[in-house]
Amino acid sequence: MTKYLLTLFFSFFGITILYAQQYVRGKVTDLKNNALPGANITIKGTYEGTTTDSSGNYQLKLSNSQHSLIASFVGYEALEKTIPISQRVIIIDFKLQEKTNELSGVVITAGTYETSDRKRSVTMKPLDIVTTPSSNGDLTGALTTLPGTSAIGEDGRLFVRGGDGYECKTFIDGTLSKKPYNANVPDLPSRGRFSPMLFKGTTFSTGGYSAEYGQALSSALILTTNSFPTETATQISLLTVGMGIAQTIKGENTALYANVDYSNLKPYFKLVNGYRFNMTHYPESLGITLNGYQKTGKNGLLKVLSSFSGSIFGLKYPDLSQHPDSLINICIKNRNSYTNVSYTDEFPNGWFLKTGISFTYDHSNMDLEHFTVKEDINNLQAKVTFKKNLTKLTSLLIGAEETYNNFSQIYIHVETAFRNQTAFADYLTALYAETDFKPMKYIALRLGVRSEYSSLMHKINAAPRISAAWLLNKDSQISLAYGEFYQTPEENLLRFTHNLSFEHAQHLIANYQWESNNRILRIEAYRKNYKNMVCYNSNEFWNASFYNNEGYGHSQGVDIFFRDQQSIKNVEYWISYSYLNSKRLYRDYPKLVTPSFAPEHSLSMVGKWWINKIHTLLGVSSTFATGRPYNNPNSQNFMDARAPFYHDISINGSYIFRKSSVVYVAINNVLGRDNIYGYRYYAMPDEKGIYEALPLKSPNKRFFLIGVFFKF
Amino acid sequence: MKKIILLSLAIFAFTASFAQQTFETAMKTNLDSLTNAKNPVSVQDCVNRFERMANAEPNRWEAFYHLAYSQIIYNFWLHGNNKRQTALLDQADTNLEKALGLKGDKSEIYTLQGFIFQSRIQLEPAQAMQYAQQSSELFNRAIQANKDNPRPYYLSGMNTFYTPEQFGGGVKNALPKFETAKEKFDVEKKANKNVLLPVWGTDENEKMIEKCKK
Repeated sequence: MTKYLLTLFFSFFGITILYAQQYVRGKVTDLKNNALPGANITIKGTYEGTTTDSSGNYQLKLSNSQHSLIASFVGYEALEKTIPISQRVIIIDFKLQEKTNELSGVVITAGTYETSDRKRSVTMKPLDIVTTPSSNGDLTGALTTLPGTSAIGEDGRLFVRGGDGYECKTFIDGTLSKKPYNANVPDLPSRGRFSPMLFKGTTFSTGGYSAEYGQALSSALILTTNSFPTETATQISLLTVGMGIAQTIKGENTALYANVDYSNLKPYFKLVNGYRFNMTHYPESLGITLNGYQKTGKNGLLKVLSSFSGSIFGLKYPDLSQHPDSLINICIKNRNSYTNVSYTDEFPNGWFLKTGISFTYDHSNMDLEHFTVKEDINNLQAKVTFKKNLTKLTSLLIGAEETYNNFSQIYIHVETAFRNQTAFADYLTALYAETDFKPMKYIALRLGVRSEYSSLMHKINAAPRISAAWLLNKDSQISLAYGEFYQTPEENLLRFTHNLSFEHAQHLIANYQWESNNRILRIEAYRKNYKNMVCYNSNEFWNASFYNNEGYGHSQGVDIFFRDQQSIKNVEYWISYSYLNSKRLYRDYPKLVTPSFAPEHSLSMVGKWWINKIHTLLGVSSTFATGRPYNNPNSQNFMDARAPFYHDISINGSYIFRKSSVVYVAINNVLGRDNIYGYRYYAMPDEKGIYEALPLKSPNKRFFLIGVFFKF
Repeated sequence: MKKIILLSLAIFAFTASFAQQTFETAMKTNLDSLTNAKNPVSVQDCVNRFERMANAEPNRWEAFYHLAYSQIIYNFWLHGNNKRQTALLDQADTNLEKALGLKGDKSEIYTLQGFIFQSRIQLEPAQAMQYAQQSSELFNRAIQANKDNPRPYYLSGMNTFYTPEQFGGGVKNALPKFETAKEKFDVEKKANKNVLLPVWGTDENEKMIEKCKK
């Protein structure tokens, strides 16, 4: 018995003696051999370890059966090394590599501007949108300070890389928002229907976007509504152009947000001495927005976004079909409702479900004195997408989408009571699949395909999408994207014939991105080829036999974006420059020319200065664009005239009090430059045979906005 | 032979309770050294110790919580080194996510998450507005989760203290918050809490009350 115990005792002791004297020492450096003082050395699986001294050295006594050491340091990849058991004194040095991007590593960036409240890879946060001076609190307004967009002051929609306004589509929580803009008052930019504060994330793609989205030749604007609210609150806003009240009620698993706002431009225009044209009914609108949330099960979230709005305005506008000085009475009324229901869930087997239904109803009544046009659009989209991470480096996405689009238009000629109605319905079915994988740590690939069938045109398409990214070093990467994009012709083209085909665009994009220490530089070059664009004869626009898909064109250019939040304390700024060369033959164009929405050079700068002492954010933005082409009927050549350059400087200030209440003041076009976008011409020449011009410009040189936003 | 079995059983039982005790003791020792640390080198050493413990005990939310807290404290010692401070705060954020995943005390974790946003204001002053708002939202959530937790009151007092008076901040508005925190700190002190649970903030809060009353 004693012998047994003794053996046991000795064998224990023996081992302890054998290992007790083992020491390990070494040095921790970065890849360039710079010492890393304060690095953590851990004996794996224990609390034991040490911290490196000021020259990066460490020494550690080891005891029984310890196999490996881990060296770690904030901002660097941890490294594990095995301890050899033979020697008494062991030297183990560590060379640590800086972490590339903690959250996501390599991300495909070609063509996309992501804006969200995540900490990294962002170019714009939701709050940045409302505080950008030239935006007037409008999402589109803020996005036009990014490269690849053109400032088209008289329209207000997004025009991307030489593409027409209709080529950009808006998606909310994955499904289509058919009419994202309010009705357009002539010569005033239309505004987005939705407040930028409704969205926590914005992905703005200027090309080469995912197969999940289709029916947009140029660009996809993908908006994500806010997540479950964090508090119950009341917000009241009072503006020189209207007022609003919003209430958020938050429960355990349910939350509701409701907002009513009313706007009327009459007091403002009365104050600043009228409008360029005589208003018979100043623009007025009433809108209601509802946002509901319901958590279901462990991971499920159901979101409902609903908005209802009505607007009206009337003015006396020069009658271009007659001689100068003649006016017609225009009155436009619009009713719109949009409902979006989305549901996301995560299943235990790893599949992620995203599904949604959106419904747009839009009715507009355009009374143009001599004739009236009533237009109705009912658009319903249902979509279901499944996603799964197959391995750590591969993910798969598959989905299907069905869109029902019902269009009806009634044209009534007042004097003759002539009446023409056109109506049609289209079912567009789409299937898509996409896979993301990382064959190597520094390379990401995305392959996708999307196929669509239109019941109205009896046409089918298949669009491949390919993109790749290659991380050059921790700060910079290159991305490439190629994709084909199809879009059903606009409703006003399908009115007279359904014997048309999808319009088609091909994108090729190369992108370089450098990002370090709150500074980001992006340079992107692209080429777009258009084909199958719809053409018709404007003199006989009702004649179906003149409609064909023979139009074509191209766009090519370079976009540069630089943003700096680091160099100057409390100041951030960004600079965007776009070079654009675009030509097309489409619609009623007689030949291949640069369209009126494609300025050759655009430059925009935005700067913001936060003055902590007085809790005020000051902003200034400046936009410059070379003159855009317009057609002068007095000239022999089509679209050979150029408008003067466009220049705007806008400033704003937001003064914050009581934590989240704000006083906001903005002045657009501070210098009061009389920007002329182009000219419209009277249809009849005067007695000398000359067509007289009407300059197309903003109705007021400067625009002021003052608002107070209270939050309780 | 029977004796040997008994002996080894006893040793086993001892080792098991020892492991539990080791964790608590090691945590406690390190929390004390963090409180007493007077220079960046010793604070860094505490951060490293907490990190080792968190790595060795991946199921204890307390380890990740205290690691995150020490990282926030260390960030203040690195004043001027924006890049490392940001990296530290990012890591603290990740550690708090882990602590939440381990079903840790929500009120305490939200408080630290708010503390991180508050700390980021110094690093990115241009985003001050947003960070201040995000931090106060988190403090509100922390209070909702446990209204007896003194720390969110103390930190939200700090937000108020550094906000100018004309914006609802300043000494006058901050003092009541620090005083509420003090009441709750006093209750907490008497409650004889588990040593692994956070107790920081009492002294700092006292100092702020003094500062307000000056």
